[in-house]
Amino acid sequence: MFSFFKGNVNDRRVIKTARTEEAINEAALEGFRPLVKPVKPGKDVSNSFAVYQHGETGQVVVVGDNRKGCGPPYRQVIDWTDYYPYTFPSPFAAYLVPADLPEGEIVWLEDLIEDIRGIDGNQGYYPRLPAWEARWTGEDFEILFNPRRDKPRFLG
Amino acid sequence: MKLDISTGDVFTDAGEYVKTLRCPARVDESQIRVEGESLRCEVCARTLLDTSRISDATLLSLVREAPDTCLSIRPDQPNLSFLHPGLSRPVEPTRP
Repeated sequence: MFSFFKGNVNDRRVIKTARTEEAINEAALEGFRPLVKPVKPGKDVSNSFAVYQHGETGQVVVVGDNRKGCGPPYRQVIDWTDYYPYTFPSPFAAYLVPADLPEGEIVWLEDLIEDIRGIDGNQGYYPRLPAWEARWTGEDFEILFNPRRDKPRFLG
Repeated sequence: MKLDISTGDVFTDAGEYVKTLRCPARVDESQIRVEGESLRCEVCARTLLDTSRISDATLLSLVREAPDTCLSIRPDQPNLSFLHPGLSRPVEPTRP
């Protein structure tokens, strides 16, 4: 899949996320310290859409670019609407912290639990940050994403 | 300009395919230098085409002339929208 955020460019130790009770307990038995957190939709994360319908055929067109719409014979049947586009298997998840992780180490969280807006798209597209570097404080991870400094750039 | 966030495919607003973004290098923002009006990637030592201030017609023309042209696209460019799951593809009919 095309990745629109930088990967683990600094080769940090990868911290996995367990998203079900079974996966968390399995990891605990393997020696990890699961850091359990609630999964909450972030208020800054959303997509937007509008729906236009053909007056004769009834077929619809779903648009996500608020610079554009559809002219006749289409008419708008759903006005521009924001929605939360993600689903998760459980309302909780856990970072699987290795028992030997020293305080201060910077790691790569490959599946962020926290909902952080990753892109300030200007056409109603505000996806969540999927993964990022974080510093282990000994009790929690301090996510090192700075929206001003770390704005993604697509290359290729 | 439209970018399909799941594939990296770039289209014009009118729906013409431009190219698919493929960058094998792991480029960090600190490795991109502004040189006058241009951008330079220090990993590949190549000039990047800053797409933020060019028209779709110019973009299409430049890429057709040089298909290996490396594009730079920022998500907050005013001339960009995203295609993402749930939307009609590749582009919506435009207002006549």
